[in-house]
Amino acid sequence: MEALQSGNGTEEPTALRDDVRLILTQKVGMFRSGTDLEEALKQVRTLRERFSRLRPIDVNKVFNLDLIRTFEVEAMLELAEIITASALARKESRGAHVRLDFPQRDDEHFLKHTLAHYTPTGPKLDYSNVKITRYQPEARKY
Amino acid sequence: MMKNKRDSAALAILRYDPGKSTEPHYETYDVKATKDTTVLDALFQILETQDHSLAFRYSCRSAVCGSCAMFINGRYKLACSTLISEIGRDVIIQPLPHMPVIRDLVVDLTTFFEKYKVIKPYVVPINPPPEKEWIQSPKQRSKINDSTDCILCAACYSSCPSVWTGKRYLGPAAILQAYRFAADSRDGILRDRVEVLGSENGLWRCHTIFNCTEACPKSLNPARFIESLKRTATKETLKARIPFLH
Repeated sequence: MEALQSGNGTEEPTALRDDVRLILTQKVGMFRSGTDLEEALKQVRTLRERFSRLRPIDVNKVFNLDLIRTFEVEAMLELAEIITASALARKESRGAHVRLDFPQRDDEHFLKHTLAHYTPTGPKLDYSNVKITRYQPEARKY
Repeated sequence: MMKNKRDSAALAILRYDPGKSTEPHYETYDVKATKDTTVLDALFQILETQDHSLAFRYSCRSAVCGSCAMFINGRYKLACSTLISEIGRDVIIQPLPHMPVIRDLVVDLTTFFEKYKVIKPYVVPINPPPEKEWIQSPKQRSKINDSTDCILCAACYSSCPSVWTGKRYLGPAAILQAYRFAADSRDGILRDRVEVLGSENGLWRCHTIFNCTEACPKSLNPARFIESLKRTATKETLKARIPFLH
């Protein structure tokens, strides 16, 4: 909170929000490619870096929309990085994740849940096994 | 106020911050407004580009959540469903009248929702409840039509002279909600509901002024439901006191 109040930058939190929206819409939609994702990841990281140079944010505790929305932007940027990095690492297509450069499903390597852990330098990706009960994974043939 | 071109508007907003010593006062902002710009859009524009300290409630942006009810050009409106091009490009915005202000356009709804809880805003099943599906015929459902459309925006409550003068009166929104459950074919506590509604701060404080009906941004008619409940309450009370009427 104190860091937000004493910020001496000029970055506008809602401008960063508008930027991240555009980047993810254009490059991290349902149809993705390695080159687009790499570029998006770079851009999202730049936004996170810019977030550390915000203008001062008032920390008044009474219905402070500016503060609430700044927190929201911070979370959005963090999640944007997680989504993009996870999509880049998953070199296969599955469901709504369609990698134009890897059009096939790859159960051998990616029949896994992606887990993202926090580290100070960015999200660390990990995987866990999928418990399959009634429905077996199969190709869409319609 | 300045004369506005077709692509702009001037918003005069009643500002108040209890943390500062300044009295409530108007501040005027010029915003871009096309024919599709809502008052809520304009408020976001001000918040993001002109004044980061502006406070207002919002959530759904599509007139289903009831968060952004305010007093716009002297009318009770939802900011999200009010087009600037339709109300003129000089806009005066005040918080809901007769309500304690938390900050700027945000009012304290604590009492409003306490009164809502009093009427038990949920179906209490008839006893014993049916074992399988609980069928409600279209005819039974039609009894609660409209009353289910209330989004609890508090516009009617804020407009009601009986609320202004009787601070403990349940108010039109809570009573409309009470109707919604009392008239539900699956509800089994009509007697208890009538008890609460017929009490000193219930139904009978309504003097059919119809401000609620005029205020409702969803075009509902709370007064009609209050009147209907007055008839129900009278019948139920008579039935309870005069045994041979059963």
